[in-house]
Amino acid sequence: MAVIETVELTKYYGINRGIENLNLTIEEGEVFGFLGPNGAGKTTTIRLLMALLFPTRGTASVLGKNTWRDSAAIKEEIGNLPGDLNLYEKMRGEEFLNFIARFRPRKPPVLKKELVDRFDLDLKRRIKEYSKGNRQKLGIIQAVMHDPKLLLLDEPTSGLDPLMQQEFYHLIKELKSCGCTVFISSHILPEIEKVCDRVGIIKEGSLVAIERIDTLISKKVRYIDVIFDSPVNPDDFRLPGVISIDKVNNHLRLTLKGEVDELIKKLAQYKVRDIISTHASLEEIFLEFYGKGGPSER
Amino acid sequence: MNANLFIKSLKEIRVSWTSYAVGLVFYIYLLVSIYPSIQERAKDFQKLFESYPEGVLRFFSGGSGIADITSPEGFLSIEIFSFMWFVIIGAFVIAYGTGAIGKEIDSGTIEILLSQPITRTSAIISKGLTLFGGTAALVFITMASTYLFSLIVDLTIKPEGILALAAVGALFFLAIAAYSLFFSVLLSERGHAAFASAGILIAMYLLTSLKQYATWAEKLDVISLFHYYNSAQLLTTGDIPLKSILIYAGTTIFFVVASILVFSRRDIAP
Repeated sequence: MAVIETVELTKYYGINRGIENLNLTIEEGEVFGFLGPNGAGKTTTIRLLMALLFPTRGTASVLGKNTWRDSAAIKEEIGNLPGDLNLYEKMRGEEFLNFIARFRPRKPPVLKKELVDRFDLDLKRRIKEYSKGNRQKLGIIQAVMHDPKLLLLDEPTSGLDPLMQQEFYHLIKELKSCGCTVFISSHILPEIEKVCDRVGIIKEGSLVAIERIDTLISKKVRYIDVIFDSPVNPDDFRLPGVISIDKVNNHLRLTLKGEVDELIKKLAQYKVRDIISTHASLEEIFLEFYGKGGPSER
Repeated sequence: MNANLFIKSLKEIRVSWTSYAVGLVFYIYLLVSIYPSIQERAKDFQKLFESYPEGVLRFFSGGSGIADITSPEGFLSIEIFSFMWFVIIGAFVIAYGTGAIGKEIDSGTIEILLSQPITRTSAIISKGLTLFGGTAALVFITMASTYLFSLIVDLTIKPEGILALAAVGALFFLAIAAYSLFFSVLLSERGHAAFASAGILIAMYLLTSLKQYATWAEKLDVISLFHYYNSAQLLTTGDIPLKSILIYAGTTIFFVVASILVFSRRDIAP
């Protein structure tokens, strides 16, 4: 069953474009990543799914119901973590979670205690005293604690330290194994890679591609900067997957698409002083994908 | 209505509401306690009042007209149930009315709130009930304390007069609360909503106060809520004018319905 389905979903803010003609189907139990740079329309999409925005045209349904007409019934089964997370500053953590829990008398917060322990959050403090990371933890807990059928997460790891980010990724995997559908909006590619089955790439309000993560990885571009002990011939590194080579003295910058194994074996034949591998930015991957002057054309 | 949100809203206003209530009771005590000395020197006070320009008296009496300050009803009408009463309760009503939804939008908490299984109509009704309940309670506290303090200082007023003023006064402020709520859902910023609501209240007050001096003000006075309010008459007769009730109740219902309609369709984006 499609948990999320949008048909030609469009939102304009006056004359400004939010999203345009979004057609998206997300199946039950799927972890779907929604990738795009800031301003691409990720948050607008989530707000439309949450009936916080009224669509200019098109329709959206969640759990088989119209998002606008059946908004309250749908939200019983949804957990939402907004990207601009604003909480009731004067409340204590415990008070806030209890307040949120009382909205769903038929769905008690069965995961609350476990989540509070896992994210190591002190609920006795007032929210205004929380750090950015602790606010984010509280946001995650309020979204997940009632064991929703669908989770909408907008930039979920924003402000979390690396340890807590790992905890969050484990949590998503556990929820997926229990059948929960997860929609994650992010501009961080490694995050999407870690947890998602499929990814939708949104650019300037339009969905430009939907890929399985393994397909995306095979298309992923990385830069490998190598400093050799002595000058080398760049042509020696024209290997499968190497799409461009730039040379400055003993420094080579190789742009690689796909597997790195063959290049590493080649490099092993030289005396290397330093090596740095950098993933292409999301923007560069967009450009690479959609032929507007990415690394392949350099 | 959502009981959870209603209780939270009540908690939010408990400090400010209590402060207003305590302040009002103290203010009424101070004013009522000077009545015996005014009565002792009734002639002097009457002369003093007569020496004021009529415009000044009309301005501070709002819609109540010029009353005899030495009579119990006139004294209460001039000293309590006119200018300062409008200012004190009006400030609460506009502050909370525009903040009921406006504060949630301003602070961005509306996104978390409307992510819960609650309809927008239910959210606005829960907030509105707190606003209307708090407003009506302030009016009734004013009336109850006025009546009690009047008994202490031997200021004789009709209980039915106090009840009539309580009913009309409560509806008068509910109408202001309703249009403040409307501006809070219509305008994106609470400050703008408060500015619009206070501006309209002041404009209506000026219309009614200035109607004797300008033909345009006299013509427009019928759209002022103050036109249908006369505290001296209510206290004296104890009769509740049907026209006032219909105007205030109609205004309240109109703006509550308009608030629900606007809020149900508007975009919520912090």
